[in-house]
Amino acid sequence: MRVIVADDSAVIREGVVRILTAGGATIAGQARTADELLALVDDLMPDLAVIDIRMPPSDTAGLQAAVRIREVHRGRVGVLVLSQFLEPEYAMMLLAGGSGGVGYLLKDRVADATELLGSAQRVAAGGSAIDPAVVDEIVRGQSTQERLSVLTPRERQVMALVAEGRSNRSVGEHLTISVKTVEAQVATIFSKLGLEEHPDDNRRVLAVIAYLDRRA
Amino acid sequence: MTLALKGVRNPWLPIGGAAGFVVVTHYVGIAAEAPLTFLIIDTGIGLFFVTVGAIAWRRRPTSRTGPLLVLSAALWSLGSYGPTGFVPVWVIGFAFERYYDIALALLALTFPADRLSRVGRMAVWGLGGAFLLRSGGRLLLQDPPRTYPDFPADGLFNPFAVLENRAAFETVEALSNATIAILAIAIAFVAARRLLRSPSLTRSVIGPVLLGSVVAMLFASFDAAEFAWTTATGTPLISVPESLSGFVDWMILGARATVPVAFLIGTLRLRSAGSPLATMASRLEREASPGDVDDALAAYIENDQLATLLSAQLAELRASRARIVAAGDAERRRIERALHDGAQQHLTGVAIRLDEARRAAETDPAEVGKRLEEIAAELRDAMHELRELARGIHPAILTEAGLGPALNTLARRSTVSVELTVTLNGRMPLPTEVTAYYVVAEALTNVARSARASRAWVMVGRDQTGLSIRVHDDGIGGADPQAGSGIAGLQDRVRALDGRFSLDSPSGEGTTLEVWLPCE
Repeated sequence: MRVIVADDSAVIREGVVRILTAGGATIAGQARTADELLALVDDLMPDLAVIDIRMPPSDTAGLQAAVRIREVHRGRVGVLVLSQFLEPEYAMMLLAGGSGGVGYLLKDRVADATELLGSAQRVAAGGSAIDPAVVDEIVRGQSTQERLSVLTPRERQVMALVAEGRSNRSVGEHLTISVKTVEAQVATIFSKLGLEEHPDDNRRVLAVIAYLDRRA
Repeated sequence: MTLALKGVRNPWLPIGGAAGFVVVTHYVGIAAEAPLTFLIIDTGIGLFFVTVGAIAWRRRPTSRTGPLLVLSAALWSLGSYGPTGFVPVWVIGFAFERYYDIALALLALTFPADRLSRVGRMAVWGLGGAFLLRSGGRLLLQDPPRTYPDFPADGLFNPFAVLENRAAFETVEALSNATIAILAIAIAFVAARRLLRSPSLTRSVIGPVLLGSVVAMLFASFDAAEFAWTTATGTPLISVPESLSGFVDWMILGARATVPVAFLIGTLRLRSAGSPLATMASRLEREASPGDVDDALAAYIENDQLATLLSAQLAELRASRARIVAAGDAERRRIERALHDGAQQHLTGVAIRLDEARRAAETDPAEVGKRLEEIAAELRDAMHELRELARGIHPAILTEAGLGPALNTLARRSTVSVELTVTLNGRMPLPTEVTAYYVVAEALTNVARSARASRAWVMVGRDQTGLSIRVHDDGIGGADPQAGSGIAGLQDRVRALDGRFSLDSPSGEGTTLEVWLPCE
């Protein structure tokens, strides 16, 4: 897994590099600004770019660069955005063009090597990774809660994990239940909510998130 | 001449002097057995002039009106020497009669506060010159009893006459009087034109004075013309039948008396209307278009209403400024408390546990992992609190992604179900977005806190000139805009942007907050 790490803070950059290197990734390059990042990505075509949402030259440069990479190198370069903002809106913006090869994690995750590495690998492999806190933020909304009242607590748990971008196996591991049980519950959830179930994990993340975020 | 008068420190000296002069000259007249009633009225008019001048002088010390009127009074009395029977006083009275017309001419051209135009200055100087010429002729060129055989001499003679030349005297007399007549009627015309051209309000204020000066100038002109005509032709300009001559004399005297009356009314009216008004009006009249003058005066007429309105707005502005400052202080206190109670406590906790972990590493390595777990948890809490605090200070998403996404976040975070309709195209000025954000945020907070509502509807949309926001709920209504400081704060924010704010909250029918913010 070849990775470019972009963050204007040396501390965060070093931390991410250390975790990913320890996890077996190759650091193809490091960038401190959005422009450096875009140039490096065009040059090196890594599997993944880990991007700080707020980078010079402007407040939104990191996010814009991420969106741009998604547009230009879709399917080839995964984008994992690290953010200090618990804002589902940013995740939505990234997911707008499909949920494959995209991730939105809070910077707090840098403190959890396993979580960060897992997400990085998932995104690099074309999957998605949405921070549990972000999913929780969406699910917590009053309107969403009302709509989710048809689900059992366990079903809601499963749904949240699906929304994070986890596969059935990952969900099962997380809840220590069998993949079969997860599959059955996912089917129930989709049917209860009137969603069309899709075999592709990424498509179903988008469907779930879009459903959760549907406002009133 | 007027400058010298304006510079007088204590106006009472010249005023008193003029009054004394009036009385003394007329006393001399009485002693000389001039017609008593005539002298009394003459004295009365003179003193009246002094009084009006004194009032004008005291009320508007910087204006030349007062000094000019006082000077007029003295000059008026000087002319009254004419009918007296003393040598050489009667000659002086005759030579210097009607000098007050110069002062009145000046007033006619400048009242209440105009500067003299170049032509006006020439006219006044010309008038003064003609008067001086006439005085010179009357004083030096003739001795009436000797020049005119039918003059009722009664022992009178002119001790100043140096050259008794009837032809020269009559030439000077005709010339000077003709000049005075022409200039006086010209000045009367200009004054009348000033009066007619002034806007109605100005006219009502300066009208009496200008009318008075026009009358005075017409008299001066007629008087001089008659002199000129009589000297030149030997016949009176207008022959008044003998039976009516007394009546005409009285009429002329009465008409002259209207001049100071007019000045008195004008001065008082100037006072009652507020002298800045008339001054402003007259300046505007000179320097701006009539439309401007009318506008300005119309605005000034509403002076009282405006002043009331303005002071109310000023009070409101002061109050809102105080509230904004207070809100800023309260916010800073909140942040300080949040930092102290939140992140700082957690970091202290981290420091303590780190120390414990260090000691555990020496004594009980198994304990280290547990301590480190606690430290990680403590740090996560600190980060969470800092993130929430930062968002509370200013939602970054508002700056970075705009109002739409920021409103989505608000709607999602609300504890009541929110139906959000946003129609925006592109970004707006940040102050507009921030205010709109806080309007919705505060409204939703109120809905959740006190409306006992189950749903809320938020509509935000652009129109041609601004942004309209409507937040409605199905709660109990009866919200008091004066109650929560939150609403007052919102109003301040909205007003700071020149926006409109309305809160409609009938009891039992929910609450509707409508805000419109301008944005070009």
